[in-house]
Amino acid sequence: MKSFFKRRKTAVRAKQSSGSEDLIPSSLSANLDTIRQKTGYSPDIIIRTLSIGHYKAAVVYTDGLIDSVPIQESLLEPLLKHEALPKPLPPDEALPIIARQSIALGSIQFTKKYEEAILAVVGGDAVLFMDGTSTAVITDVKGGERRSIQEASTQVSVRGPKEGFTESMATNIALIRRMIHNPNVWVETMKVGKQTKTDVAVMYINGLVSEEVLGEVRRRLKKINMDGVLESGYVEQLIEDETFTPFPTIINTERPDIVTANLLEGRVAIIVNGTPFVLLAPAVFVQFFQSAEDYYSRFDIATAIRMLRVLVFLISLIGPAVYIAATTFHQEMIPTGLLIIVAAQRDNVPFPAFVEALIMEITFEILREAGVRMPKAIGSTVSIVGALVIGQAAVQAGIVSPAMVIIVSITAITSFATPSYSIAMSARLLRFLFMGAAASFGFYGVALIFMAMIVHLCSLRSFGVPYMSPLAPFIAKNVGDTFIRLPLLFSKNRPRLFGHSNPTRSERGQEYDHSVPKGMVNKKTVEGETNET
Amino acid sequence: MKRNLIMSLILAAASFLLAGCWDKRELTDLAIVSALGLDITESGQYVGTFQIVIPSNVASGLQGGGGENLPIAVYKAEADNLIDLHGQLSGKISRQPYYAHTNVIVISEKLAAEEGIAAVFDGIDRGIEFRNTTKVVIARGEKAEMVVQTLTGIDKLPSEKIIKMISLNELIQGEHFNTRVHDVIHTLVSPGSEPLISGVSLKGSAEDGNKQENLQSAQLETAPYANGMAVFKKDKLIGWLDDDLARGTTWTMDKLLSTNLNLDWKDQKNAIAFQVSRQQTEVRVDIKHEKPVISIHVQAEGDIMEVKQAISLNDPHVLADIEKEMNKVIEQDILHSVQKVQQYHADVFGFGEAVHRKDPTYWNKVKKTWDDEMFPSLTVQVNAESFVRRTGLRNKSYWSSIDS
Repeated sequence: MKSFFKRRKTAVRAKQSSGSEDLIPSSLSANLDTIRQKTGYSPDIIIRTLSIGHYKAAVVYTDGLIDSVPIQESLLEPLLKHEALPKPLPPDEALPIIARQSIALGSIQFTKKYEEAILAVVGGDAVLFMDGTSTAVITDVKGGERRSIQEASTQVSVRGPKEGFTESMATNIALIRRMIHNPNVWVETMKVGKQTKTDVAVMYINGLVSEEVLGEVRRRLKKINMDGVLESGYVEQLIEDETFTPFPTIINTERPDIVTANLLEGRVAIIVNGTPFVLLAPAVFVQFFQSAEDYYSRFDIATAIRMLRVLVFLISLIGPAVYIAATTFHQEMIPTGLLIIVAAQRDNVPFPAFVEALIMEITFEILREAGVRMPKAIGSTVSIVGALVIGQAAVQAGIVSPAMVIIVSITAITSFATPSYSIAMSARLLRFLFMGAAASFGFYGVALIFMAMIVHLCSLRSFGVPYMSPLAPFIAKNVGDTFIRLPLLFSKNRPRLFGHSNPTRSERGQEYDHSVPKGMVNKKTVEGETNET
Repeated sequence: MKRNLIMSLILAAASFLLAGCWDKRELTDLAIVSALGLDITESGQYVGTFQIVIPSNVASGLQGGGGENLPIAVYKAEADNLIDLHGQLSGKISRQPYYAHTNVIVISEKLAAEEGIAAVFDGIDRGIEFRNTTKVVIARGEKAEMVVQTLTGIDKLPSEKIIKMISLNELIQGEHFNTRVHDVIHTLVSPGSEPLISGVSLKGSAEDGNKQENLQSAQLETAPYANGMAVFKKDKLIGWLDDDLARGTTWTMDKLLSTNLNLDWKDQKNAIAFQVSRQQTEVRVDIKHEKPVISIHVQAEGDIMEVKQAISLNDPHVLADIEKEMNKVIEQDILHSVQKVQQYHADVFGFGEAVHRKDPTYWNKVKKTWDDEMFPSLTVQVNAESFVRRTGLRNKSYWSSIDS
């Protein structure tokens, strides 16, 4: 049985590799036959035969992937109207002339390779074949139904650009280019996935990006050897530095302004066709506590909110653990009044605090998972069941204490208050580890796991950049934009570890000129009549 | 390699699962001791009375909680020392007594006077659960047991009522102050100062205080009230300071926060009520002719709260006269209590410590005879300096219209 599968696999592989280096046959009918055969006579592969002057030709494209207006008006129409060449030329020489004269499309490309031509067809291009030549013309008429640009659904902001990425790579690159008008924004594309041949673009600003990081990104992308890459999550998992960690070492975002800001810091963006989530590397820990809005609002409130986010992360991480530790090991740490209240609530609860916490946390996770996956129509049912049955009935039945419900609710809310979904996921998992430690060792256990977590965080790297930088290693120049955000006037430096190609962001001179008196704008003083009598 | 990894993971998990939880105590396994009463029997054994909180009856807002049921349960044990008391309790109670939230330790007058308190505090100081910020009071004229078991009205926990009552008095009247375990031990060990602990008595029939019926009347039949400050010599109770004498003492010790003074004016007794809202007391020691002279300097300021006759308070001379009158009252208050304490031969003020700080070599000479010879015969000078800060909302009292 095993050997049977093995043999079949190798057979398929052999078949695929056989056609890769073939040239396009010069006979049109043979050529079209091969195409039909290779695509399994799929009806969405459209083959339109036509005559250009006295040459026989065919345009091949995939229905649905092309934009029908340009294919009619700019490709078929001018080709059909093409006047006969002054003197008959062999098809090899005629094709470039015809293409130059009659194809009214921006991007055309000549190829002799069969594989390239057929890939262009299934990739959304229209390909012009001509009888008697083994050259084909690939014309870009990509189009078809696509989601329009909408507000990013996972990273909403009150202030800032509202548009979010779409599933189209070209649109996404354009969205970024609209924000940086700079020829130094360079894009490299490659196809990843042996079967899917997904377009992946690497985008960076030449001169700002660190060559080491860029080289590493290229190297890792090239190493990907999967059959399919369906979402940037595949790429993220395949190129990240450390697989066995709960922490994300690559940022993903749906917002072009975040990508732009990161490109300016010297990072590399990886755009995968077919997903609105763009990857950014290298990532550092503090970035997951920053949102685009921090930079759009004033520094004081931005700093305060960042501090709040750290608090929120800590609560969502160790909230239930602290409750367990305090109520089962360190009752002396709870103020007397509160202890009596908690003790009264727990009097009728039949479970130890840890089990109680576990029941509630798992219940919440179930509710949350149900809420994400279920059809929208029954959403209200789940919330009623969640709020009434779990929240109220469980307390009234004496299975859990009201204090525990409060703790679970707080951790639930905090896990949504973190700006980055991926770091909230880390906290969600680690919370259970902390709860276990708290149940067996109290605060000692919590401290132990916390230290282990910090050691682990310090050991992480993202494309060679220490994950905890600029805090560990401490880089004083870059600390202004971590858990605090200094005014923009003071943030003059790019992250030193990967923005060193061009470390200064702004030159002197943008500061407010204090030599100009800050007087009231007063007509008389402007005119020099300062005599006040 | 892989096996090593798995083994180390198992070991790590085992270290959590096997070693963990040994000191775990669920809240439902704890009996929170809110007050501890200590008595002594004729045969010299300690009697411990444990006031234990019944949480569901204290925390209101829960179904069936509050109001109806008793907030505390009281257990009693008899043994030779504190840890034995704890042990004796185990056969009588279903949960482990937990002392970290003990508010107050009530020591009976008899134990304090006959046995001394020094023996009691070692266990409390040494034990890891007891806080040394736990307050200490003396049950004056009562068994500690009675004080501990008496139910109270507004504060559901009797222990809380006792310490809050004393704190409030400390804040407003200054005739009592809370003494913590730490303070008691500190004053016990340091030569030249003695403990001073607030007393608590019961009004009404002490026997009925532990019944629900006691809470049924608006004016509780049996209730604890603060009653004087117990003066200790070494670790034995030797007497009490009451009312003005107690206030004079707190004043001398610079522990007074605010108080009310009544002044006589133009032959009328207690015509002016004055509230001292800020005061500072300095005790200075001078060694003159091989004899220490203590001068107490008091700075006090406050408001006139009430007058009972037409006094023109906008006249600065009148205010100056009032201040002079005030000085007299304060100086007398302090002198009286100093003299009283000198009769007890117990230096609760810590004058001895002041002398020690001033002149250690001199102190070494006198410290043996300090309590019984030097302290009782000390020359103490009191100098008060008071100031009327405000006179309330009225400058001119309506008395002036009535009188004329």
